[in-house]
Amino acid sequence: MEAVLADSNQSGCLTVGEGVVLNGTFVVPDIASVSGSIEGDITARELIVASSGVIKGKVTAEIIDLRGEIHDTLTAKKSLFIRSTGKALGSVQYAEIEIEKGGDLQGSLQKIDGDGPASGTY
Amino acid sequence: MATPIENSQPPVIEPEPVAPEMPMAEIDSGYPAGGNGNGGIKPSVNNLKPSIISEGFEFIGEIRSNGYLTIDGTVRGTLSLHSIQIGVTGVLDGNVTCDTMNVKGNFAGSLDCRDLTIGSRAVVDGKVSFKSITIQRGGVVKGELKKKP
Repeated sequence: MEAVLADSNQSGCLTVGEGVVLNGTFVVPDIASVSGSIEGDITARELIVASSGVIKGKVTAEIIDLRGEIHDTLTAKKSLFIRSTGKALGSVQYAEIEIEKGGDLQGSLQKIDGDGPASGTY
Repeated sequence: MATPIENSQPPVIEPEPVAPEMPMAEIDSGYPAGGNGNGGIKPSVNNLKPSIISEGFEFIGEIRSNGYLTIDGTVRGTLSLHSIQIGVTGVLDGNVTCDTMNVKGNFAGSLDCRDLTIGSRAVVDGKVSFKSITIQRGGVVKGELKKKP
């Protein structure tokens, strides 16, 4: 589903396939879809981490849909959705949060003021 | 002075003789396998009835039970229970140990539980350790979260 999202609108999007390992700082104007592994900082409008995806570093996005893992620092300016296979460890900031049963959330949590309601479609 | 005092000691009120065994049989066998017309509703933990702190009721102190507690009022203190539900109007402030916690209202303090559910209008603030967590969209969680192995 995430691949379809990114395929239909490739401008400003980043797709990291399964098995791909990236290091560095990434600024993604639109959707970042991660099935591989990223070490470093990533900023996106919308971040979709598939169940095989792992991100270690500072992650900032308006909308985060997490089926994989994010370690370290995570900021969701609008909404953070942790699915049943998702794992968020470290310092977490969110405007709106939802966790499915089985989802893992550990560390320090802080609610921030979101700029308007989330526009994400679930 | 009609009755002569046989004993010089002051009269002692004897406690009611306690029955050697509480009539537990009817509780234990209350749910026969064949069904008893209760629609298959499972008995609560240890067949205890749920306790309710109603709206407008404030309790400060310690609660220990193996059963269910529903809080629609305000509770401050130390709680050790099997199951707690904080209703939309409920406020719980304190140290809590339980198996299942369902928050629809307000919780502050430290919580140690197995299964935590946070509703969409709930506010949870404090130190929380759990084995399984569910947060519905709109629920607010602040503080330290720790997952137990």
